[in-house]
Amino acid sequence: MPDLVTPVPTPARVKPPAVSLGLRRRLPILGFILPAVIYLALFMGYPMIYLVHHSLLRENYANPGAGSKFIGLGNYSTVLHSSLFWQSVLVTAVFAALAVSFELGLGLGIALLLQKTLAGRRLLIALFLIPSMMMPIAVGLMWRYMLDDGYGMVSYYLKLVHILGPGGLITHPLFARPWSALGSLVLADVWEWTPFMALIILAGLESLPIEPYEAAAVDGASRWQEFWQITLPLLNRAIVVALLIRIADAMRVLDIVFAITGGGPGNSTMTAQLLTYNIGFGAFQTGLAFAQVILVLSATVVACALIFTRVSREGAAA
Amino acid sequence: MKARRSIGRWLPTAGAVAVVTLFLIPVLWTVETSLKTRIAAWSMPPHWVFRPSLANYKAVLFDHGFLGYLKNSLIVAVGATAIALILGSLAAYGLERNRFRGKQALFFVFLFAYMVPEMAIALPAYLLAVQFHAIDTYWVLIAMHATFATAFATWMLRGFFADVPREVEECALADGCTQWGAFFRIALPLAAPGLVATAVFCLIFSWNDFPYALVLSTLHVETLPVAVGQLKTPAGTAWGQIMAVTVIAFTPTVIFAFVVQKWLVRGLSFGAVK
Repeated sequence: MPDLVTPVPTPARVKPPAVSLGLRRRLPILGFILPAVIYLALFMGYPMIYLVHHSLLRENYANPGAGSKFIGLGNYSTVLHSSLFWQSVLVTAVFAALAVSFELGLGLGIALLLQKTLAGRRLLIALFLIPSMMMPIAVGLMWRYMLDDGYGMVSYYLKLVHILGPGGLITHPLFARPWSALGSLVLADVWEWTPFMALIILAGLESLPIEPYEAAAVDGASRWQEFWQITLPLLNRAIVVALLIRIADAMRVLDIVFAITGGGPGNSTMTAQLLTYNIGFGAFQTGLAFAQVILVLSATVVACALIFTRVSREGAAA
Repeated sequence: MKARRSIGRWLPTAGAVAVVTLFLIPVLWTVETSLKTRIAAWSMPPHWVFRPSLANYKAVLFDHGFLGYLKNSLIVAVGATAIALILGSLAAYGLERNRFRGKQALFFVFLFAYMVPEMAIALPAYLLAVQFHAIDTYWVLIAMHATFATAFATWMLRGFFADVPREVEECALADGCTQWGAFFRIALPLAAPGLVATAVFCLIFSWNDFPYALVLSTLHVETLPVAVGQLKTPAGTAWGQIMAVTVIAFTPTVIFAFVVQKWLVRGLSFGAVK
């Protein structure tokens, strides 16, 4: 198991100076780094330049005869005035917020349980991680089947305890109403990614220093105080990294939506990436799809920047 | 008194076992459904005990051509992983062992390349691939999967190279070894476990990828995730067959996850949590 989470300052290594590198010293560095950089520039950078360029054009690939026309920020304006776009942003945000908070809460609880597990912990963790290793589209199909109103195993038991069905808490099939359809998506995501969250938090728990707890014991702190005032603050970094990774991932959710609701009923669970796909690949309005995905992309940049500031601090110490 | 306390000590263990069991029920149900006949899969109440049959596996592998999709998935995953390991290990070493201006910016770009919403790359890549007559080939899928895999491998391997003691390399360098020699003869062999772990993660990421494959593969190079959705036909969904494919799809990743269990946290957290 992982052994350390908080950056323990290692004895200072001699680092080569950051400045005044001669060309002879710089060449090997370039030789190491350039291949990857060139590769990403070619296969990711170039498509992105294409993306930005064509987001400024009016094009429809289903009708190539119409040609393309430069319309400046016209596509962006269309997207920003489209209620479907804003709805997809809202749906994605609600989905991400709900899913990630459940994953955090459950993950924290389960990590605490696993930490105190006396036997068979390695096996338990290995089994527990199966959901997070599974193909997301397969996870989606699995839940689509289990939650089906007619022959779904989970729906059946929910009806048995009168949560679902006439007279129950939910009187309609799960996929028939927006909020329960979104709930199904959250459920599938929480099932798949709670183990991930728990594992990272557990790694954090296992590397906590013992001294603060000894001090707390001397001061007569309660278990509750210990948890809130020592454990959580010390876990902060592991939790934040896991949270941000999950948020950035949840914002680009596609697979499980595709498999479970397909964006329905109506467009009520249409997430941002599914909308981009439908506009760009279904309707072939590439300009619009591009403008839309660039707007969504800006949120990813912010999330990455936040992750980065947390991670690179560790990088400086490692 | 003592007995009661020891029971209390076992309480979290019991809780953990219960939680893990709960999380595994859907997996168990998936495996069960994959072994059921069509009628059994549709029947209610759910049957937990029944006579298993391998008919679904036979149907998807031989009648629906899933052997071919398996092959496609495998070729793409191995190809993308090979590129990612070569480019990523070089870049990770170069970044870890040197300090220069713009290094942090580079790391940010790599993180972004991993986190970018897939459609932002897949849609323009599709149009470009059509232009270059590369659509529906292994090459375009491998090339695209290798982008996020390279970004991931760089981050992940950087941590492993950081764990390789620099002193050994410095001796070699003092003895007239070049930085290339130090990389190939010392750092790379010492980081071998890290390379294996990274490779496993790259394989899993490529194997599981749906968005890129959805846009970029049609007909000839369709991978498993794209093909599985097509068993949802208007004539009715063959759930038993879908579940059989699901089992086929997750078995290798789960086995791999067991293999790299020691490095799971590192891999899943993008090298951020060790």
